[in-house]
Amino acid sequence: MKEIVIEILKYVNIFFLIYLLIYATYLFASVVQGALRLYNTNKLKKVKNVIKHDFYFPVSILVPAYNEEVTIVDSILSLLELDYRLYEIIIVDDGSKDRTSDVLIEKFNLKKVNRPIRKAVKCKDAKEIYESNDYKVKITLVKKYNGGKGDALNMGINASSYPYFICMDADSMLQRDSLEKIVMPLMSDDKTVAVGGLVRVAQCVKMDEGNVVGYHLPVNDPVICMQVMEYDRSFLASRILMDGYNGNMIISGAFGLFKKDIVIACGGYDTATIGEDMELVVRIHEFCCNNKIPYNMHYATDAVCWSQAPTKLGDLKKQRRRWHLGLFQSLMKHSQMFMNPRYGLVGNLSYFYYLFYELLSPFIEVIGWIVMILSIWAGLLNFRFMISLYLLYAIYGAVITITAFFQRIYTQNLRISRSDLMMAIVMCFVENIFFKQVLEFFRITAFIGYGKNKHNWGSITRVKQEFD
Amino acid sequence: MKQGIVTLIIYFYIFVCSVFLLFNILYIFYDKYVEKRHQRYVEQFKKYIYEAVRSDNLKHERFIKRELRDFQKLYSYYYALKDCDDIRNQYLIRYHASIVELFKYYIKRDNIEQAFIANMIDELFSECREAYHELPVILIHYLDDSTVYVRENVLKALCTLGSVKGIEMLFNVFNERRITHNIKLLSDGLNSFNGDKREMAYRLFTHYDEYEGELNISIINFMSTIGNEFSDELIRVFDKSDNECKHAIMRYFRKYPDERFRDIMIDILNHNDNLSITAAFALGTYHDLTVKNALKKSLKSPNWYIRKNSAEALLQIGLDDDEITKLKNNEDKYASEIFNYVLESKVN
Repeated sequence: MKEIVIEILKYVNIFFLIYLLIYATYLFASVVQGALRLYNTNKLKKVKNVIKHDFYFPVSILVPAYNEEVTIVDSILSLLELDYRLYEIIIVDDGSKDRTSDVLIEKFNLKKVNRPIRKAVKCKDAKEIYESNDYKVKITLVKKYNGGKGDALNMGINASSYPYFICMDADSMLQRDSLEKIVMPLMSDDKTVAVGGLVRVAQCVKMDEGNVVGYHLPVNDPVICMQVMEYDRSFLASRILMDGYNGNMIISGAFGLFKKDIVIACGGYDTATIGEDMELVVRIHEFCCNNKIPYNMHYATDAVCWSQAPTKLGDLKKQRRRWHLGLFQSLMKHSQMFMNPRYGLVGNLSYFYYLFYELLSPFIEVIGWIVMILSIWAGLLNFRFMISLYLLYAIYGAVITITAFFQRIYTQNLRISRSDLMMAIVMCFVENIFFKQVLEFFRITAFIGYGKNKHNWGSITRVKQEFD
Repeated sequence: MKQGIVTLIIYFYIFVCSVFLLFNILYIFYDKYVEKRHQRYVEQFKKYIYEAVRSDNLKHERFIKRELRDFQKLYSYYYALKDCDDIRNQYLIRYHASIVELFKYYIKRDNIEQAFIANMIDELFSECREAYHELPVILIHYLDDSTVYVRENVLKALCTLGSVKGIEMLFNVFNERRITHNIKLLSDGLNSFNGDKREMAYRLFTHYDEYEGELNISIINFMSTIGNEFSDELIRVFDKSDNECKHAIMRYFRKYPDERFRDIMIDILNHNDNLSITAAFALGTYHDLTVKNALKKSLKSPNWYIRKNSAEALLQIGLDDDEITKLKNNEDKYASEIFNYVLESKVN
C-alpha cells in the first residue's frame, strides 16, 4: 500500500512542480509585459503620439443599479463631470427595494415619459421610464422588474441610442478623462469590438470634480489594502499580457466599452449567468471566431474607473463567490473553445490559464494539502525544503506585486507618502503569505449552495465616499 | 535533483524581478535626470535661437543638421522654439534649408519620432508655410509603415500647411496601400484645413471612383461643412455609391435640401431598409406635403428606427393640431406609441 502511495506521490509531485513553474513564469512574463507597455504608453504621450479631438464617438453609459440609494447620486454626478462631448447616461433600476429611483428622480428632476423601448435583446419589462434633458447630457432612468444584473444591462442596451455602450457599476466613479481614453482604441483600430478599462479601488482616492486630488492607502483597513495590491497585480499584469495577443476573457463589469451591434448579434448579456461580464466577452470571442468576423478587444490602461471594494470579509466572500461561480459558468458554457484551434490563442492559452490557474487553483491547492499529509505519512516530506520553497515563492509573489504596484503609481503620476510606501511593501508580503490563502478558501466554498440565489445581485454594503 | 532545479528557477525569477524592481527605481531617477537635462537644453536652445536670428550662423546650421539628429535634443528644441514666439517665423524662414534637411533625415527614423515631427510642424509651422513647400512630400514619406499617431499627426500637419496637393497625396497613399484611418479622424482632420477648402473638396472628389468607401465618406462629410455647391456632383454619384456613402450623401442633403433629391429619398424611405432610417431622418428638412405623407406612411414601418426618425422628421417639418391628433390616435399601435413619445420629448 505504502509503495503504491509513494509511487503515485512521485508523479503528483512532478505535476505540482510543473504547475508551479508555469504559474511563476506566467506571472513573470505578465509583469514584464505590463511594465513595458506602461512605459511605452507614457513615452508615446510625452512625445505627442496621441489622438486628441474635441469629439469622438457617441457613447451610452449604462448604470445597472440594485439597492444603491447610498452611492447612486454621487456616481451619476461624477458621470456628469466627464470630459466628453456626446454621451448619455442610462440608469436601470432592477426592481430595487430601497429608494434608488426616488433619490435619482428628486436629485435630477427626472420626468416620467411614455417611451417605447425596442427590445433588441431579451429582458424583463420596464415599469416606468424617466428622463431629463436639464443637464449637459440626457439622463434616462428605467425602472424595471427584477431580473438580475445581466437583465438590467440588456434593458440598458435596448434603451440606449448610441452605437457604443459602457457598462459600469452603480458604486463606481469614472475619472474625468476616462471616457476619452477608453474610446481611443476605437480610433486606432477599426476592428475593435470591446475595450476594458482599468478598475482601481475607490477607497484609496480623493476625487474632486472627476480629478484625482489625493491618493493614500487606508492604513486601518488591511482588507482594502490587500485588495489594492491584488487588483494591481491582476489588472496591470495579466490582462495586459493577454491583451497582447487579443486573448482577454474578462472585461470588468465595473468599466468596459462594447460595440452595440456585436453585442446584440451575440444576444446580449446572459441573464442566467452570474458572471455576465466574463460570459459576454467569451461569447463575443466565440461568435466572432465562428463567424470569421475580424475583431479585436483592447485594454485601455489609462482609462481609470474607481470602484468600491468590499470592506468586510463577509462582503468580500460574497463577491469572490460570485466571481468564481461566474468563471465556472462561463468556462463550462463555452467549453468547446478549450484547445480548439478555431479559437486560436484565446481557446488555448487564455482558456488554459483561467481553467487551471483560476477556476481549479483552489481545488489543486486542497489536493496539495492532501499530498502533503500523505507525504508526511509516507515519510517523503522534506520539511526544510517545503518551508524554504514556500517562503521563496511568497517572496517572489511579493516582489512581483510590489513591482506592479509601483509601476502603476509611477505611470499614473500618483504621489504617495512614506508611510503609504512602507505600508504597500508590508501589504505585498502579507497579501502573498496570508490573503491569497483566505481568497482561495472563499473560492473553494463558492460552490456551497450553488443553485440557490443564482440570479441575485449579491450586493455588498455600500459606503458613501467622503471627499474631504 | 528536481527540487534543486525548481529552487534554482525560482531564485532566478526572484533575481530577475529584483533587477526589474531596481530598474524601475533607477528609471524613476533617470527620468528625473532627463527632465532636468531637458529644462537645461530648452534654456540653452532658446539662447541659440535668439543668437541665430541676430546673425547668419553657420554653426547654428550645423547644430540643426547634426545635433538635432539626437531625438532628446530635438524634443527640447521643440519646446525652445515654442517659447520663442516673437522671432519664431523669422527664424524658421532663415534656417529653412537646414530644418528641411533635418526632417528628411527623420524619414529613416522611428515612427514615434516621425509623429513628433509631424506634430511639431502642425503646431509651429503654420505661419511660415509658404517657405516650406517641401514639407508635404517629406510628411508623406513618414507614412511608410506608419502608426495611427504618425497618420493622424501627418494629416493634421498637412491641413495646417494648407497643402491641397499634400492631402491629395495622403489620400492616394491611404487608398493604394489600403491604410485604414478612422473616418472620424479623417473628417475632423479635413475640417481644420488651412487653405482653400472648396478647391480641396473638388480635387479629392475627382478621385471618387478610385477611392475606397471610407475615404469617400470623409470627403462627403467634409463637403457638408463647406456648403451646398456639391449637390450636382453628389446626385451624380449617388446610385453608384456604396451604402455607407449613400448614408453620408443623404445627411448632406438633409443639411442642404435639394428638390431634385427629395424624390430619391422618398423612394428609399419606402424600401424599409437601413438606408430608409437615414432617409427618414434627412427628410425632416423638406417642408412639403409629399414628404409629410411619405413620413406619415413610414410611421407604420416595422423598423423601430424608421418609425422614430419619421416621427421626429414630421415634428421638425411642422404639423397642425388636426394632424397631431390623428397621429396620436393612429390605429397602428406602434406608430401612435412612438409619435406620442417623440411629441412628449419635444414638449419637455
